[in-house]
Amino acid sequence: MNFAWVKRWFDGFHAGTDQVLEFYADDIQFEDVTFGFKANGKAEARKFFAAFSDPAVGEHIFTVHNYNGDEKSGAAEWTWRAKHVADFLGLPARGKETTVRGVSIVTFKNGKIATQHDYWNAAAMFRQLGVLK
Amino acid sequence: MDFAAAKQWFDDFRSDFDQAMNKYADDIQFEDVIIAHKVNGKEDLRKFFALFNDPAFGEHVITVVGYSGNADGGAIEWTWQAKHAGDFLGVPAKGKETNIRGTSILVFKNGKIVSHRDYWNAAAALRQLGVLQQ
Repeated sequence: MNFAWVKRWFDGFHAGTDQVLEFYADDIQFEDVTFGFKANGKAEARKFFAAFSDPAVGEHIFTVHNYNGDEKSGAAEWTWRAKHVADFLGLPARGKETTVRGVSIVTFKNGKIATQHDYWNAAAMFRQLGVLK
Repeated sequence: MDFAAAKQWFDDFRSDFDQAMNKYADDIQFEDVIIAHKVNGKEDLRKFFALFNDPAFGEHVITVVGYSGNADGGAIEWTWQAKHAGDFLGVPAKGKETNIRGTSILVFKNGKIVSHRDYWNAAAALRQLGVLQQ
């Protein structure tokens, strides 16, 4: 995998859930470490990814910056701009905007993402939501 | 780098600090994204990392759990067990322990690390410190 592939993958999040799921293996093991969320398999991943294109869950724009690795595994760093319409991580966030950086660490099987671990800057988000100095 | 090399490198920070620092290029660009701390150059980075071996800064055990990528760049994933000696993330943490996961994103040039960015789970740390609800 390379930066061009990673850009197509992240564009998928804005195109719709079906488009983004094309990039994943059926038995994807997904984990958002910072959010404390795991999905085993495409059906569970679908529910989580659907939130990113659902206006009821706000607006979420991802911009990917780089990819370090190869067709077996690697890491993509990104910026996540969110316009919140509800609580987030149990904190009042409605109407607020946050911009934080994060990374997706991926391994591949037959050209599809088999495992993914996401980490992002919760400290910055909590500061932007006004709950942390 | 690979998993075995990553494990050896992190061990070196405790047992042979100079050897560990030797992995960096002189003009290394380091950033801890979570605490918004940037360090430019090996000498300043040496001072920053030395804190982790200073009892006045608490006890810190970092254990490598994975490497994704290749010899040119990638991500080391790790766990960080900390016993804090003072405030952490601006909140009182003295005497408290946190155990969280994180990652170091590395880029190599001529076999040396030229950029290193850390991300770790601040939400978990704040929950463990009792600042955020479970």
